[in-house]
Amino acid sequence: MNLVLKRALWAGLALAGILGSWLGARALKEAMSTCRSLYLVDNAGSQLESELEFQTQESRRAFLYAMATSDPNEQLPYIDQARAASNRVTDLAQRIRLLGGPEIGAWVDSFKRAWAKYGAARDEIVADILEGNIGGAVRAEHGRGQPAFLASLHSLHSLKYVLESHARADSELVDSTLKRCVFGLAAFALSTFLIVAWLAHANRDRRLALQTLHENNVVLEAAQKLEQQRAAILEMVSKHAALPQTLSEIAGMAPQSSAEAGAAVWAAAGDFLHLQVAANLPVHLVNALKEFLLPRSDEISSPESEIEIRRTKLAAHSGLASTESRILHDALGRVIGLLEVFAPAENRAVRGNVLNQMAHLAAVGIENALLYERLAFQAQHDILTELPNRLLFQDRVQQALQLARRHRKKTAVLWVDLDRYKQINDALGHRVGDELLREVARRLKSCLRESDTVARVGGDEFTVLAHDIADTTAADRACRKILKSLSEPMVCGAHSVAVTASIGLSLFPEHGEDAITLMRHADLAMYIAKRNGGNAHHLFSPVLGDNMLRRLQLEQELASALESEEFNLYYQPLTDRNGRMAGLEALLRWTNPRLGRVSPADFVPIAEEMGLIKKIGEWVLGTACRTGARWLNAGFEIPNIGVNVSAVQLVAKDLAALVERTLKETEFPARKLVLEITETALMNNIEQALEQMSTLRELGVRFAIDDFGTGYSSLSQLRNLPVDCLKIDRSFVRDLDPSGSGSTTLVRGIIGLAHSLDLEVVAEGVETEDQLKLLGAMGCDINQGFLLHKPMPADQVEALLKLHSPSHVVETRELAPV
Amino acid sequence: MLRFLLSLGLLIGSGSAGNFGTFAVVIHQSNPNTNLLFADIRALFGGATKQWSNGSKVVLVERDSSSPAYHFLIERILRTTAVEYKRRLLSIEYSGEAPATVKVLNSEQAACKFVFNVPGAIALIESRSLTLPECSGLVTPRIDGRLPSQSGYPLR
Repeated sequence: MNLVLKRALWAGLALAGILGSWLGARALKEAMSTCRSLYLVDNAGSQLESELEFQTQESRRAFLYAMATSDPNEQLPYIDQARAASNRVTDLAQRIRLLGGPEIGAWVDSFKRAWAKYGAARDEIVADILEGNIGGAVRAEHGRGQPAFLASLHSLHSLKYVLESHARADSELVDSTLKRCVFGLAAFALSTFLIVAWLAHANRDRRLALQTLHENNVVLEAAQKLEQQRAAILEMVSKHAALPQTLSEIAGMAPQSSAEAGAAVWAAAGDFLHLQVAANLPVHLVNALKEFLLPRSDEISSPESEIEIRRTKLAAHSGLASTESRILHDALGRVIGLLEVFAPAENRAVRGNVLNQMAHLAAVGIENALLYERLAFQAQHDILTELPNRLLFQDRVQQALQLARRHRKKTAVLWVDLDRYKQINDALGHRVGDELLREVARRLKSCLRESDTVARVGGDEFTVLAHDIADTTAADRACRKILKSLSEPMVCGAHSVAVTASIGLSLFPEHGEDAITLMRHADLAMYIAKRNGGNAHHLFSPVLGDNMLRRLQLEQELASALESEEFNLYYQPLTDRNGRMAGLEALLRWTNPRLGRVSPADFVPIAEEMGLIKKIGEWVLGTACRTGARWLNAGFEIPNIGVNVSAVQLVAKDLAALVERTLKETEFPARKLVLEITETALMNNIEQALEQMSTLRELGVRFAIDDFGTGYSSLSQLRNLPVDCLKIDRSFVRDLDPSGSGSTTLVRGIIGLAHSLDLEVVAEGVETEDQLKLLGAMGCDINQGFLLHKPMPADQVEALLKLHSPSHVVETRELAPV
Repeated sequence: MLRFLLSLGLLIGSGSAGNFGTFAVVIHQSNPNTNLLFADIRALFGGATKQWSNGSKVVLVERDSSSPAYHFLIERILRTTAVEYKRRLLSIEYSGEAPATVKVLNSEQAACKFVFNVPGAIALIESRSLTLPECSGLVTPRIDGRLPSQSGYPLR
């Protein structure tokens, strides 16, 4: 059968069904209308009969009651009751009149007339009753009321008979109508069935297509949701959200096959994995799983491992099984976590691709959290020793001080500096040095309580925060314990190293109210301990603090003074007995923007300790030679320039080479350079000095012994040195006395000795005329002091040189009259 | 003190005879006497008139003694006292001279119902009670040619 015929047949059947159902519905409507009419009329007739029965019983009884009392307040309710019943009868008759149609209208009207007569009679009876005319009322009841009532009843019986015959005729009509109705309904049902079947058949393909589309939509929505979750989780990771929160989101990606199913994520913590998040799992299972610490290795999911067996049993006890799991690795392939899905054993809770995505995200999240944690740790800790760094230490001190302040306790800050660490590091290498520092850190921690803090704040500098110190004695005891522990030999690699330390100690509240002050004071105290030879501890005191503070400032500023060009050279002329310039001494001056002018007596010793003196000496030598060469090139006659050489320079083996190079570079004649060496420095390093001096002597450089008389020179040594001049120390010159007392004899002796060795003599610090005369009388060759010339900058020296230089003298004389 | 004065004022006000509203006379719808004089009203309620013009017996509806209509009847229409009025009605009733029937009813609704049921009945009610459903089938005769809503109406 082809499709057209098939459709025509379906359509014909449907059309027949529709026609049949229309006919059936029409018949049903007629039947229902008739039935309704019959019911209503019948119902009204029954009610009418009931009301009349009421009239015969209740209404009459009410009348009797009304008649039995003379009080109208009691009579009226009964009368109302009787009248209301009468009215209902009238209403019912009217309804039958309307429903029954013209065929029974005459019968109803007849009844209504009879009933109206009874009503009129009753009203008169009521008036009689209310007026108190009971006798009249009784008479009216028997005379007019009862006959009227009986007439009404008779009329009603006639009406009922008519109604019954009318209903019987209608009943037959209803029967035939119902038969048509049944046929129509059957046709309607058949046609409906056929139409539904046809529509179902026609829509089967479309339904299948829709179903496929719906399934595709579901899959698409799931993929979209997954992508959104993925993006949200990656954003959380990038914003360093809390790891449990991130992992909880990841666990939430697992579609729930049942209410009990859920995902658990273990994350790395030390050498183990511990449960970080268990979303949607039963509480008792989560609590039990928390007790597991999984080994951080690839065997964590090995089904035969004891832990795995126990875990499986535990899950089974909750009606679940570990249906899927993924080991989480970081970028280097190390195990950092485990993702596990628990579900009822019969369900495979999560699709493979979803699980892979979850595992990937969890790995990224955990790795990121570990990295972030590591970075946070490194920001506050020293990487080598893993001790807190200066920043964290300061913070802890600050917190400790708040507690100490509240509980009125003492707190100690220790500054520990290793002695000779640099030498060990240089000699044995950085690896040993690092190992040494780690061992020192371990020993410091072992000496202290758990609540105390050890930090590394510099290369070989450690700090200690000790809470709740009873008194200074307790702090001393802690320092001694540390020193003793550190002094024990340490095995670093193949070496056994012994170190000592210097410890500075400051106490809260005596030595400071804040962390920075306490740390600075402990540092100062450490310096004192170190200056005293190290391997000791020292308690800070405010007096020492001021001196050390000054010294620290000098050190700090001195370190950058050379680069900042804060040094300057002054030159003090030396004069012979005739007043002529016999030479110039280059004197170093330091003017610092913060400290002002600093005396060489203050900063030279510090520069020597800091190892800066060598560079400063090079600068002085170079500057003096360069200036001297410029003056010579300008045509000035300068006898010589004296440059001071420190003991450190003298010891250094490269002094001669330095001087030679400088002279060559500046083209300053060697014979005009006088190197002034203090007697003490010379005698303390006589052997090295002699070698250097001999080399330089060959170049033509001359030597003067400065501050002569303060050291312990021996004549034999003096005779063997290539020295050209002795400079008598200013302390002897100051004590000269024309009477011959004081140092006069000593100065005379020095001058005699120098002359006997064919050396020139320079008297330093000549400040009075008497001193000048006396020195002249004693035969001193050259004088130097404020009386003659103060130290002056190079440009002033140039002006002076013009006066003394022959060519410039002429100019001066010529210019003088002007 | 102020509260006391106010209370006193209220007492005095409530005790005075001038605070009555408007009152109406109602009769059966079959009663042809739709125009009455104030003197007719006094005669009817005073028991002097015992029969209507159509021959039916006058049935007086008396309200209970706590009602405003009763007080208005005593003070304004009959201008007597309650004791005196009772005594007069008793003397009429037991004098044997075809007395007017007196029915005491304790509400405006009951009064209206009674008048509706009894063709010769007459009742004095407050004019605002004329809107009650029970009073709808009754006749309100003019008194001195005026209805209760008109000015100059004597029962006010």
